[in-house]
Amino acid sequence: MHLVRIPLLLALIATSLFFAAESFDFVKTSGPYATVVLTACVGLLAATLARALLYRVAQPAGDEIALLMRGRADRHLRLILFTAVWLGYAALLPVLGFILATTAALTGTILIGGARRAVPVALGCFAFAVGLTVLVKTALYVAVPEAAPERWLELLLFRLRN
Amino acid sequence: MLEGLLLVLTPSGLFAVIAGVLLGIMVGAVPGLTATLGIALLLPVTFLMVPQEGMIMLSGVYAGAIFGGSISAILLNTPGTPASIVTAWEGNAMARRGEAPEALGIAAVASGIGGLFSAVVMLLATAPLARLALEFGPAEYVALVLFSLVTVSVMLSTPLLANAAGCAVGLAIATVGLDPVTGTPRFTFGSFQLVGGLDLVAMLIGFFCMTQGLILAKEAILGMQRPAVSFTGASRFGVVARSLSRRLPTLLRSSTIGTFLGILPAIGPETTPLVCHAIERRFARKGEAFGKGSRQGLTAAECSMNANVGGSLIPLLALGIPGSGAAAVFVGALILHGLRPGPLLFIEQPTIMYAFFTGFIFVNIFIILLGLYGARYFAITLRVPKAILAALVCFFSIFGTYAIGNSLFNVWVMFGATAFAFLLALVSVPILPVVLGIILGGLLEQNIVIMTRIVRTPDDLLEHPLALAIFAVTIAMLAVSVWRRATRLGAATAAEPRIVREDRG
Repeated sequence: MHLVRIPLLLALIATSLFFAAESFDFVKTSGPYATVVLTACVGLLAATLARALLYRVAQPAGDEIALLMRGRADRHLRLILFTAVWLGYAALLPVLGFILATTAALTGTILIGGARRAVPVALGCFAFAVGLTVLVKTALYVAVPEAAPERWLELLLFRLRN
Repeated sequence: MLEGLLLVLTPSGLFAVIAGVLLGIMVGAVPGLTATLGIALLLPVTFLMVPQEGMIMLSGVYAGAIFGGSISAILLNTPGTPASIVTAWEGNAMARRGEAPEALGIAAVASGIGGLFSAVVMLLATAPLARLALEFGPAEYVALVLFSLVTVSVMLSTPLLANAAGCAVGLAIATVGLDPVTGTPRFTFGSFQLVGGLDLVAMLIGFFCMTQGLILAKEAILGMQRPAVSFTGASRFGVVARSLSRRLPTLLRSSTIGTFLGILPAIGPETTPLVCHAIERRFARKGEAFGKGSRQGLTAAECSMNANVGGSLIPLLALGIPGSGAAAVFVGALILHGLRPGPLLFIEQPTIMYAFFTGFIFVNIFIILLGLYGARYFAITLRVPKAILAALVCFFSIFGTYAIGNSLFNVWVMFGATAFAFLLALVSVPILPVVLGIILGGLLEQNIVIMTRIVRTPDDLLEHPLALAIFAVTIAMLAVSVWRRATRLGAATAAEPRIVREDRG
């Protein structure tokens, strides 16, 4: 854990330093506040780093991080895949539309999480996505990204209303 | 105030109360889902509602989730939220003795009483505090914001330096976007989407919800199962009332301490039960087996937890300073509904405020009723497989963030916040100071700029005695904390030189 912590703290300090240097560009127009805050940030992070170097295991990692680090390599891969699915979901949402993207992402992540029966899971996720889209279109009024299925659903809802 | 009461007594007002408490208990009952997560996830749902109903519903989610955490704590010895650790010690020991219905009943009624106490304090204290805050100038605001940041830094158990670094990181993040005084764009790198700064709610969802979704996913992947749920009988009101009537001083003490600690920044419902449990142990009669199913211990923990909820909302509504992580998400909710947290709320929207206060009273009454007669049914939520829960939390984190402004950019900000939260956890910097820094950054900057124009010499500061007093308290608190921590560290180093040396090697 310590091996990860030191480079990460160094990276945070370097990023803060970069922004502190950038902040000099607008000291004249915006005042020194951002520079002061970022300099304090660099100083305090550096002090945290110094403390981490002095007392190596004095501050153990939280339970959550310890949990994320637990398990064999294949389990880590599955979590990476789980995360990648949601990142892909956000990227593909405008292309696939809400219903298809949501069904695929939910089904995929539930199966990665350990569910066994793919067909019932997929059907359940599809029903959930359609149900939520109906709610979104009739009550929540969130402009979800649309593809063909959403347009068909909108037409169907329009016909049902009139 | 009567107008506020009438607004709550409408069908939609009562629906907000009931729906909030129901959803809150369901969220809180599931280990891994916290009150903060519940509020953040249900925030977009309140778009449909008028502001006061949205706020009442979210307060119902907050208080309901804190109580809901006790259900799994009592039945499974698994705290649903971090606040229910003490409840798990006492309540589960009672459940193992076959007294689960009484334990659930005591938890429900004590929670409700604590919440009602804090609601009354909120009703009586918030408006005068806000009126006092209206007299505040920039110097007083700077002092108050610094006091909040220092309080968070000294109260958290993590190293003081890491806490202070967290505050500075939060303040630095808050500088992204237009300068609040001159309007100069900062760190926008030519992106118009960054001109308004990083969206607060998107960041909060990233910090509190998406991270939790990924942790739940890891638990599911590791195959971590929950123990089977056994259904218990219904709580009997008579038994619970008799038990609590013998513990009125405990209820009063815990409500008062819980509310007071809630007002202080950083002391959320997680810490309060531990404090009140320790205090009650001193007041306990001989034979009261604390930690082994003590009714007094359970009463103190539950009562103080929900008293803390109301307490944490007082500084938020009166001063715009959140008293806990969940209250910080409330800031986002208020902003989304076009309300600016702080003293002006009482001038601009008094009806909404009084409707919220009365709504919070109803929320706590409903917690008592639902807790007494329905708590055991909420245990069903514990049967939802973790894989489904993880997928749904991640999905609603993305959907909720998107719904704020129909913007996928906010979703990427949320992902960035999630990664940043994990990075901070890896370097042992706590998230709460960061969140407080982000929320209070704008307020601090604006008032510092004005203060530096008004207060040019130290003598000018003498004209602001309140600010001077707050500055003095802040400095004293920081000095005492530094001294105590240094002494403790010195003692630990002296007592265990070998361990420290080994650590260094």
